[in-house]
Order: sequence, then structure tokens, then C-alpha cells
Amino acid sequence: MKNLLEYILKGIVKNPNEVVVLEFEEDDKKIFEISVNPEDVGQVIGKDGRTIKSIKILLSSITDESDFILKVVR
Amino acid sequence: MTHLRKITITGKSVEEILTVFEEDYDIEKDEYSYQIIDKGSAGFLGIFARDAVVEVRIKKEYYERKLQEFVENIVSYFDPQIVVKVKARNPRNFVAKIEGGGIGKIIGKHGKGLGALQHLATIFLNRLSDTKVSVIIDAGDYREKRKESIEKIVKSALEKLKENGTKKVELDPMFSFERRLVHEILKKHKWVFSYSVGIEPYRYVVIERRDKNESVNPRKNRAYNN
Repeated sequence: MKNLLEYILKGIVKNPNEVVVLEFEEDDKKIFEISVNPEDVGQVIGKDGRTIKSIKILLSSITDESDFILKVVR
Repeated sequence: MTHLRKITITGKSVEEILTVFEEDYDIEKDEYSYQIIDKGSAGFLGIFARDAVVEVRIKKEYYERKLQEFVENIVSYFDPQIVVKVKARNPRNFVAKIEGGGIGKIIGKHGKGLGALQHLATIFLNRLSDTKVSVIIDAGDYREKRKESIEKIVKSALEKLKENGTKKVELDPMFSFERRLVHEILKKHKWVFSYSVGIEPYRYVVIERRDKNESVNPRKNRAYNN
């Protein structure tokens, strides 16, 4: 799942080399912490969060679980 | 216009410019054309040396291949058997058709997954091009079937409005092209009017019965706001 997340992110940002994804668990919940170049933050989240939601939809339909959190950090 | 991006590159020699460009863009020889603006010159003992300048135009074939790779890579996580076929109807509109056993999982409930994939693929391709391009992801005959079911949804909503005293009916969230289709169908039914409310991706259509004393004309002024 992390690989696919990284692949999608690198495809949509201006600075693919600065995409970093950290995967860890917190309170029994899987968290993916995404950090990108500041100018790409808006792109990754999208208008009304549409892009990050789209990513979440794809990831959850692959694994049949939606119990994870995508976090974009600045 | 057959190219989607034009770039001017400066370098030591034409040959070097093109080699670096091909590597940077991962582009094949037949996917671009170029024009030499200045051949450049090594000068005499380094004096009067001049850089070469080349203008490169990237063709739609490059975008077809890139989009195909992007979609293929994503769907392979669902099912490696899924086949992706990309075709550019023209340099602005790309269609990626996905076929195979596992596509049901990608389509998702109400085509949510399909919409998500389409949204991401559109961003991906637009990042590579200068002009705005649109991407449509079509899974099997999903869109055709969805059209039929939308017609049914509208029909049953109209029946609801007709039979009991309901004044308005709210439909489930739909994609913009689906909502447009709903509005399109309802045009033929003068006794109702429709509009969309909510924020993407949960935007949905509302169908309301027209008051008897309300004339049909204001309809023309009403913005669709699809």
C-alpha cells in the first residue's frame, strides 16, 4: 500500500524527489504521514480535499480496509 | 496543433541537448519533434563560443504512453490481469479503457473508485502538458450501464413526484457528467425543475415539482449550475 501511495504522489507533484511517506501505527490505527515540497501541498490535498480523498478511495478499495489515516504534514 | 508542450533548451551542442532531454523526459525519438534555433559554435580556442539552442515539441503519443503507464501501474495493484488501452481522441481528450476480471473492485460503489482514478490521472497528465487535457477512465461497459441506470433513477423519482404529494426528491451523489445527464433528461419534463447542491464528490441532484402558478419561462433564467 505504501508503494502505491508513493507512486501516485510522485505522479502528481512538481517535485517527485521530495516525496516522503512514513508508515506507522498509533492507537491501533495505521497512519501514513506524507511530506512533500511546500508548493505541492495544495496539489496533494486538492480543492475541498478531493485529491487526497481520491487517493484514500483507491487505497482502501485495494486492501478492503479503510481503517487508516493519510496525513499531509508541512 | 499536434504538440502538447513546447520547450526551448540551451546546451553545448544539439546532440547533447537531445540526449539529456530524452533522458530527463523518458521520451522516445518518435514522440517529439525539434527545430534547431542555433547550432552553436565551439568558437576558436574557446573564444566566440556560442551555445546551441533547440526548440522541442512533445507529441500526443508521449502522453498516451505516459498515461498508459500510470494507469497500468495503479491497476496492477488490484489485478495484474487488467488490460489498459489508451487512446487520444484528439490532443486534448484522452480515454483510458480498462478491461479484465478485477475491474469491479476498481469501479467501486457508485463508480467512486473510477472517479478517483480519473481525477488522479487527470492531474498526472496535466502536470506534463502546457495545455489543459482531459482524461476519461472507462471500465468495461460500466459507463453505458450507468447511463441506463440513471435513466431508471430519474424515472422512479418522477413517479414519486407524480404519485404522492412529495414536492421534491433528492438523488444520491453523482459525478458531474452523470448530473448533467439527469438535468438533460429532465428538460423534457416541463412540470419539474432540477439543480445540484453539495460539495464534490458528494454533490447531488434535487428534483422539484414546479408550482402551478409558477410560469415555465423563469426556467430559462435559472442557471443549471451542474
